[in-house]
Amino acid sequence: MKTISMKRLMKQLWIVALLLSANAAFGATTNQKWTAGWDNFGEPLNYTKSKVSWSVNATTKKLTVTYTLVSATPSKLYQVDLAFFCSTFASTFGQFPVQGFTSGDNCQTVTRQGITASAVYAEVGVVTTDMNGNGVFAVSIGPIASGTYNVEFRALDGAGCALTGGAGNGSDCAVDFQSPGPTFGDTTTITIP
Amino acid sequence: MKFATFARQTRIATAVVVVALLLSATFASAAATTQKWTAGWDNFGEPLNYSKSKITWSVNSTKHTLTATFTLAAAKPSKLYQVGLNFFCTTFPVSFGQFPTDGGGGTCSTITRQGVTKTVAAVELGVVLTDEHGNGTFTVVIGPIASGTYDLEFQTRDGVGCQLKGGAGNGSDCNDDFQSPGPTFGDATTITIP
Repeated sequence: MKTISMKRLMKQLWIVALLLSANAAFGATTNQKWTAGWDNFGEPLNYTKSKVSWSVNATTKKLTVTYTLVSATPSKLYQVDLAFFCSTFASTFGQFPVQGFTSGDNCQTVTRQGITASAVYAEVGVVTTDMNGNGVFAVSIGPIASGTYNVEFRALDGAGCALTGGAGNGSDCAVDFQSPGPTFGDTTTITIP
Repeated sequence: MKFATFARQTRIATAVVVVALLLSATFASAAATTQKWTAGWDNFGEPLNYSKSKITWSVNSTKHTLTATFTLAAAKPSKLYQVGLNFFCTTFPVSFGQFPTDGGGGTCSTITRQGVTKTVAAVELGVVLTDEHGNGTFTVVIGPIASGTYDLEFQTRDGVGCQLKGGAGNGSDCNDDFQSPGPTFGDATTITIP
């Protein structure tokens, strides 16, 4: 019978441990669907094929998010962000400024779909759709302060809300798509260790 | 033939196939090209760290796709920059991959910038949103693209909404803040789609 030396066995165990460690650090990717609203409910979208994918890297404390829209309005800009449900919140989320405070670090109270909650927002990018209404945007956010965050992902009806260089703070701030939804305040819990 | 010999020949054949597959994949996805931004051709005062900012692009000859990553460093914080391609041409198709040509293609428009007159067609690809430090990146995969040789400049506009819905419209946001390769309007990169 062929025997394995102790040195070789230790080497193999070390490789397995490294692979397990890397897998745990990157975390599993979560895929979730879009739903309509909070504000607009008639914007076209293939809700079956569209999605938000996210994962947390526990080592780098980064959140990676990919926003995918399929069969939305062609050649249109959709600003994408994270809405945090909170009473108070930090001024930044990773490298992105947070907006929507009433005063100091107090989260703003808003009512949508008959639900009242307090929230703030981190604008993280834009999905630009092609001639078929399809578009993808991926962003890596971090390092993020350790904590548990209750969030909804959002796609707005244009680009420029609370940012320079776009349509400004008008109708483009209205929310076309939310995830998880289907109701304002339905949240995803993201934990940064 | 002995079993041991057969097993060894099988292993060699497998290794040859694996090497061939790896070589094939390498040639299908050509090496990435990295090039720098330069200022203009409309605005020359927009902040940018020109050493750290770049465009990286590559062609996949099997899929006929072009992948481009637009990176801005130390630009204006929390600002939207629309990015795209500016082709130097006489006529141009109605689309480039899945992205429509501004104005619908056809005869290319004549414009003069930095004292240079060229006929052009533009395609809008996406947006770089900068963070609190003025850093941002955007990657897009374009294709399949019609085979051909394209002379183009990458461009970054002074806002978003130029020829697109949902932004600032066709005003000053259409101005070009950064061009690549540059430094002069009309300096082109040649990209060949086989």
